[in-house]
Amino acid sequence: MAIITAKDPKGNPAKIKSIIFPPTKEEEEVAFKFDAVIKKRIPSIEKELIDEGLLDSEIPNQRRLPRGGNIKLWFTLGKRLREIVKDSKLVKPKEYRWALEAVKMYATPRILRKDRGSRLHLDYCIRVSELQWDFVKKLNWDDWVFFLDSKSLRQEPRTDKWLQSRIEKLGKLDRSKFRELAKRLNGEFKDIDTSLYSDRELFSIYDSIVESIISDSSKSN
Amino acid sequence: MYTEPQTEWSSHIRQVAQAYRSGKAKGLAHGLQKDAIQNAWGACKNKKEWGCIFNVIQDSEGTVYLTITDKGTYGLTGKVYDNPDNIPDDLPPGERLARFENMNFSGGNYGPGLYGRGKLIFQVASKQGSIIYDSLTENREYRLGRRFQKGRHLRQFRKVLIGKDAEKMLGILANGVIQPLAEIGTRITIIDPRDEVIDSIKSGEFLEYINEAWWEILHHPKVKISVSCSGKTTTASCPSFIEKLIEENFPEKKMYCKEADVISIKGTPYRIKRICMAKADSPVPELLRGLYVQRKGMKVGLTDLRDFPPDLEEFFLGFIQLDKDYEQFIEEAEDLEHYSFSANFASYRELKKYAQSQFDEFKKKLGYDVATDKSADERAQDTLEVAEEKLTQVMKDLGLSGLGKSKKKKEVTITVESISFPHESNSVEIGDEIKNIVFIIRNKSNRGRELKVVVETRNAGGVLLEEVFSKRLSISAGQEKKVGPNSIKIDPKKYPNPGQIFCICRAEEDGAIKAQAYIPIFIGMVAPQILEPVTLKLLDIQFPRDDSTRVNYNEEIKNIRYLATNQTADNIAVRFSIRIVDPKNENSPIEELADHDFTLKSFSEKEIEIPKILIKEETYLVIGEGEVQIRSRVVSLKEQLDYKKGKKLAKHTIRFWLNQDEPGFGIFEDKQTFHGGPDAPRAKVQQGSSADRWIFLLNVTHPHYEAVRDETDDSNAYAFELMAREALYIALYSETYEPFTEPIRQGDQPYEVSKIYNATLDKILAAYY
Repeated sequence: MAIITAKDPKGNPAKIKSIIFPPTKEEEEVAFKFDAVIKKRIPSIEKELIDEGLLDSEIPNQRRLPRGGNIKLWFTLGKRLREIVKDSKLVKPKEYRWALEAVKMYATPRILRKDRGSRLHLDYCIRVSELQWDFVKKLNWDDWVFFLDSKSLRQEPRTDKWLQSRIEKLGKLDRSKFRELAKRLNGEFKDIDTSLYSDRELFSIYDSIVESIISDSSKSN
Repeated sequence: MYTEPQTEWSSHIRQVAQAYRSGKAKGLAHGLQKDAIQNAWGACKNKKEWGCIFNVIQDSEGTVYLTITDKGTYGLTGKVYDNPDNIPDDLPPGERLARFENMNFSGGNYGPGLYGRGKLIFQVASKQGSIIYDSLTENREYRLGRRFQKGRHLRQFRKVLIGKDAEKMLGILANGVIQPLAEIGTRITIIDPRDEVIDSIKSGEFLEYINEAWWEILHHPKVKISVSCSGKTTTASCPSFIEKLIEENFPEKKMYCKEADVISIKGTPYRIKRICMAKADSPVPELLRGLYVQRKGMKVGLTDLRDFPPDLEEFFLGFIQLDKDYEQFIEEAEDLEHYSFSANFASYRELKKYAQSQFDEFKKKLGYDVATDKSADERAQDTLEVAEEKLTQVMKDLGLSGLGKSKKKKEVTITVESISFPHESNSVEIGDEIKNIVFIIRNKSNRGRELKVVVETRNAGGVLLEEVFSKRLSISAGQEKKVGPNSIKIDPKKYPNPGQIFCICRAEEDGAIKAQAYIPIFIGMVAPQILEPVTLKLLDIQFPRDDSTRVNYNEEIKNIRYLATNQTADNIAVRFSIRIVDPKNENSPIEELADHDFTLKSFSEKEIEIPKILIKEETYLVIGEGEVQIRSRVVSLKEQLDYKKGKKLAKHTIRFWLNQDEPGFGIFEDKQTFHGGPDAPRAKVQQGSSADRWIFLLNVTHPHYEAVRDETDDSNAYAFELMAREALYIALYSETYEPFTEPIRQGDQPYEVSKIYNATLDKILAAYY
């Protein structure tokens, strides 16, 4: 497959990225199909978010992107984007980053925030949207950014899997405890190559840290 | 006989206007309130009675006047000079009138500014460049003067008018709308103020500026500053965010306050009265964000903190207050408009370092991962990469080639195979025996070698203590030989106690040292903590092209050899792994190449060889073209000693360029930093892995570097100049004269060489800009 990630002023593809190069005719067709989808869908997602009262209709200055935002907004955006960029008929997992780049061609600054290296705003929205809303809504967007900003958590793909499987327990944590969790996990795995750990080993360390936070808070109460 | 040189006052005034509108200054209106209040506060006689009133008035003909009146001050006191030439050079602080009327007399501890900007700004604020100043002095004498621009001149009365004459003149100049002062103090009247000033007052922005810049004095309950316009008077007050911080009313975990810290600057202690920082729950107004340094009640400059977490920025506020001595000392670093400090002065540089360390502490308290922020050395490393790339390009463009030859392969190597200490570390006692010392000598050249191999002990000063082994060995091409096992008995007659010694294995050929290996040993003392328990060094790598690191699809990178060295006395089980990464997308590696698990014995080394990496098109299409990195690392294989399982012990990165020429062919084998302080050179070079390879070292604690390091452009230019300087030194040292603009011949006098050297350096620098 392939992704159009840049267009010239006339709207023709200026950059097509593909896993197999040059892209085959079929792959190019998929690239144009994906482009057509996001060209239509991204503005309509923005409109939906405005209509739902989640997004301000005023477009901020591109050069000074605003910060922060409402958790419901980013969760909803992530959920809707996920349906497009994680559609395996249009985007291969390896093309995920390019797909996010492509989305930005059609997005207004209303739904964009500054990316910082490998810390991508739209990726954060999508990752958070994969969790249950009842859990997600207990925290502010800043808390999620704080969590995902930790290199040792962001670069370990099994973290998301663990979050999903421990929703009930994690639901007991309030905002400050959740930040404390990110802080302790990051401290535990800073400068550690977690690929040496099995899922069981890794999750048991994660779990023990959650337990210790819950137990610390019950002691202080 | 003599006359004063003429001054083009209008251009002075334009410069002042420009200065308040650029850099870190916040515009004319902001500058006006800041300087006016600074003048008034500087003349404060009694805090309880002190006040400053800004008032906008209009006369019957529509002319607008902005008056700035202070009270609780001394007024424009001092002698009225008949002739300005009679003003003494050393004007005493009490001569307030003469100080106000003339430029560039130092204000002493308080009073108008040293450079007169705070006076010229009144001229700038008037469309006509015209002001009136009147004052009722302590002895109740009423004085009035006028200053206005005419062409290139700035005119004022030869002598201020006094008493009735002054009152009469005020009536004429202000068209009867301004009355003579009834209270002791001084008033500046700006005739026909600029629109940006009046608009700012009308919108309330001016008052916000006062609240922001003068919160420290506004916190004093009796101090009063007000702004009146169109019959409405508003009073300045300390902003609620700051008030909350001064009173330390933020939640404890979101606030950081410290008092009475002392920092040493060039051996003299200076006191920080108070530093306070907080993270608010709601966004802090933009004017109040950041950590500011206060001086004499005024907010001056931001401390330019590094590594600001993006989600903290808009919620962060703070201030630093200094004691009186430090306030006076840091004034040297303050810009003329009082908005920033220059890092060229140690007074500010050290404060900035202190502020950064406190900010890092606060970030830790807030739960941010401070350790992942870039250290001074890491930032310097980024700078060095950019500078070297640029230097290589410039040298190439100028045709000044001849440096940066490819790395020579070592022909003979020595590694430690084993060593057994009597205790857990490399600390021993008199009478102990160190056993099983085995070295491996490898002949990596393509011919047989006759080597004299010596194993011996020497003290830290290099003095021979004991020869343990000495023998001539013949080693065929590509072969290796073991030396040992040997042992060392710590005999009190031979060895110092306490003391550090080295066990050295050396291979010599025809009297020249071909290779050496060292093991440190501590007698009767605790071995110091090893900062890098394991090191990882690249021994060899073969790219498809001899002079470039460009790699095209389906080409191979061959013979990648690393050396992992255990620098401790412990055996460490490790995993060596190597992977290929797109630096723009570090989260998912392009290829995971190999994992090798092994135990690094005490002080031993292990060579790891990756025979080849095939750059398969289908795998590397993700990148297409650009920089690719081969990242290798050594991690702890299990929980052992002080290391957690997976603890990264050492790492190494090699860059290559996929389907494109590399931006530059590196001149230096490596670029490193060192902490040499002000007495060490700003930069130096040392020989690298072979005679024609050099390592560039930048002194990151030299005051000059500290002054430029936070400005990316400045620090890049700084590193570039030093790299160019050192590159030319290498050329001279190695008698490689191609880089020079003119031929250097044997027998040239030092001054001739120096001239050519400087000309070449200048040419390289000219190409940079």
